[in-house]
Amino acid sequence: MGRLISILVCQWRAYWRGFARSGKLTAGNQGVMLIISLLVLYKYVRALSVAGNELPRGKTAMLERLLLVLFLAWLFPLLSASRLSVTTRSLHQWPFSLTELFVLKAGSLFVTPFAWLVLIASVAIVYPIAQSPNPLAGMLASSLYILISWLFGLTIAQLLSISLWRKLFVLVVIVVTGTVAYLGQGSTINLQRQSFAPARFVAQAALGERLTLNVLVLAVLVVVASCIALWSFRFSLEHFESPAAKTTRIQRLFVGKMGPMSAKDVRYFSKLLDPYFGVFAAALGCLYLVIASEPQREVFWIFIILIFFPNASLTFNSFGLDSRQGLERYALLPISGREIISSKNIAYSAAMVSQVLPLMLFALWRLSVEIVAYGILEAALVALAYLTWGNMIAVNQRFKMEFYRFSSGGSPIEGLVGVIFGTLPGAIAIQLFVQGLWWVSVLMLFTYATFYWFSSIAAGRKVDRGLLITESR
Amino acid sequence: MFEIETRGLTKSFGNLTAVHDLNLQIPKGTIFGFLGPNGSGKSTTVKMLTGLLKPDHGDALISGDSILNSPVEVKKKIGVLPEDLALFESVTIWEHLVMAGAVYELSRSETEKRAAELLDYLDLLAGRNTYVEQASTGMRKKCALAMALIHNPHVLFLDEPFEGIDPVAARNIKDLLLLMAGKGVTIFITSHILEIVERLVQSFAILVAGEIVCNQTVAETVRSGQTLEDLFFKHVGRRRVDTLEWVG
Repeated sequence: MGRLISILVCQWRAYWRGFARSGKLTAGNQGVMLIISLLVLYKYVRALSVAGNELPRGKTAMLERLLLVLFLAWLFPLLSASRLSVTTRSLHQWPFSLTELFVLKAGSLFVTPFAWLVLIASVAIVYPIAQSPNPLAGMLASSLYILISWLFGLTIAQLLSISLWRKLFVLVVIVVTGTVAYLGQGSTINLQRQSFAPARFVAQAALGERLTLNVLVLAVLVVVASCIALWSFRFSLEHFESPAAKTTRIQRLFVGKMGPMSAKDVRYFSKLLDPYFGVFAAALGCLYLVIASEPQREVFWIFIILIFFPNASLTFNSFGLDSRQGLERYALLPISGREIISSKNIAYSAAMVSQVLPLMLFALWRLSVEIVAYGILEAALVALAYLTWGNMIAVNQRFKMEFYRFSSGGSPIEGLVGVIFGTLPGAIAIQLFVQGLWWVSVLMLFTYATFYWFSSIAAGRKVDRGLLITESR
Repeated sequence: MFEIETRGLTKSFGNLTAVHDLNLQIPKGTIFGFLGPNGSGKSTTVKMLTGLLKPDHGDALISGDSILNSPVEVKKKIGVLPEDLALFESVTIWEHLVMAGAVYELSRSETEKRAAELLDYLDLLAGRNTYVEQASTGMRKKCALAMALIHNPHVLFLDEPFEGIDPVAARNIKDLLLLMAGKGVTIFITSHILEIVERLVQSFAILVAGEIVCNQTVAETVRSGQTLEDLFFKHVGRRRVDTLEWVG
C-alpha cells in the first residue's frame, strides 16, 4: 500500500506544482472556473432544498433529476484530460498488479479539484434523502448509485481511448437519440414519463417502496459495473497500441506545400471528442430533414450554427493538439507563421465541410437549391467568424489538449465571447433572409472575409515573432 | 567565407548562462564535432543555430544568411536532426517524409523517390507505415534523419545522431555523412560517442559550462600525441567510482 501512496503523493505534487508555478489564480483562468463552479454549486444547493421539500410529500422528480445530473457529472472528471504527469501507462512497466494499477488510476483521478466538486455534490445528495420517509435505505441506495456512476464514467473513459469503441459509442448515441426522437414523434409513448432507472431505484428506496428489491438491484449493478470497469481498464491497457497505420488517404486529399500539414491536423481533430458533438448535431439535423413532414428552412439553418458550436476549440486552440516536439518541428521548417496558420485554418474548414455536407445533401432533397445555397453562405459566414476569433486567441496562449478527450483548458470568457462572435453572423443571416434582405448577407461575407484576412496576418506575425519558439524551450 | 559562423552567441535561462559568447568558424564541407558533458550547452547552441531558440546576444551566419534576420532562408538551407526529434504524434514515418518534401517544395514524385531511397538505405522501408509513437527509438531517429536529408541541405545539424542506432545503421549513416561532406555539405555533429566522432570529424570544439575550452582539428590532436578522449577528460574531468562502495 505504501508504494501506491508514494505514487499518488507524486501525482498530487506534480499536479499542484503546476498551479504553484503560475503563482496566481488568474493563470489558466482558475479563478473564473472557481466562480463558475461556485455558481453551479449555488444552483445545486437550491435544487437540493427543493428535492428535500418534495420527498416527504412522496414526490421524487427533483431528486431523480439531481441524480441524473450527478451521473453525467461523473463522466467529466474521468473523460476530460486530467493532465497527470505520471500516467497509468507509464506505470505499467513497474511491478504493479492489474488491481494495483486500477487503484492507482482510480486514486489519481481524485487529484483534480473538479473531481472534488463532483464528490462534494455527490455527498450532498444525502441532504434531501435525509428528509425522506426512509432516509437510511435512501442513503444506502444513493451511495450505491454514486459508485455505479463513477464506475460507469471510468469505463466510458477507458473504452473511449480505443478506436473501435469510440466508433461504437458514437453509433450507439446516434441510434439511441434517433430512436428517442422517432418515438417522440408518435403519441403512443410519453417520453416525459420515462425515467432513468437507477435513479428511480434510489428514489423508491428513499420512499420505502420495494426496499429490498431496489437496494439489491443497485448492489448487483455495482458488482456488474465493477467487473466491467476492471475489464475495460485491462482492455485499454492491452489495446493501447492497436490502431493500424496503413493509410495515407487523408494526406492525399490535401495538396500543395502545406497540404500534408493540414492533413495531419484533420487527423488530430478527428481524435478530439468535441467534434463528435458536431457530428451528432449533423446527424440530428439529417434525421430532422428525413422525418419532418414539412421541414422548416430556419431549423435547417439553425442546425448549421449548432454544428459549428462544438467545434470551436479546433480553431480557438488550434495548436492545442500539437505536442512540444510537434511545435518544435514547425519552428524547424522553412515556413512562415502565416503559412502555419493557413494550414490550421484549411484543416478546420475541411473538418467543418465534412460535418455540414451531409446536412446540405439532405436539405437539397427536402428543401430547395435556393435555401441550401443560402445555407452555404451562412456556413461560410460562421466559419470565417470562428476562424477570425480563433486565429486571434490561438496564438496568445496554447492549452495542451489530449487525444480521445474533450478539449480542456482555455479561457471560458474568451471561449464564450468567441462562440457569440462566431454564431452572431449566422443568426443575423437567418433574420436577414426572413426579412428579404439576403443581399446584406453577401456584404457581410465580404466584411468577415476581410476580418479573417487581417486575423491570419496578425496571427502569422505573432507566430513568426516566436510563439512556437517560446513553447519549444 | 565560412559556412557556419557564430559571433558572440549567448543564451541564458534565468540565472543560468547556458551558452556564453560562443565564436565558431566552420568552413564549407567540414564535419565538425561539438562535444561536451550533459548540460554543457551543446543542444542550446544547436537550437540557436537552427532557429528554435533566439539568442540573447550575438548572431550566427549560415551560408551567409543571418539566423536572426533571415530565419526562413536559413531553414531552407539546413537539415536538422534535433535532440528530441520533433516528430508529430499520430503521423507515420512515411507521412513525415511526404510532409517534409512538400514543405521544402519538392514535387510529390521526387519526394516519394527520395523518401523510398532514404528509408531503404536506413533500413526503414518496411516500417514506413508505423506511427512514430509506436516506432522504436532507432526508427524515430532514422525518420528524423531522413527528414533532415530529404531536401539535400547545404548544412546539416545532427544532435546525437548515433544514440539509439544499431551498428549497421550507424555505419551507413557515417558513410553517408562522409559522402555528403565530400560533396561540400557542412555537417555539425554533437555526440557523446567519442570513438565515432574521432573517426568521423575533421575538427571539433569542447564546450564546458557554456564556454569553449578547446577548439582544434583532429590532425592537430594526433600531432600532439593525444586522443580525443584524452582531451575530453582533461577538460571535463572524471568521477572516482570507488565512492560507490555499496554497489554490487
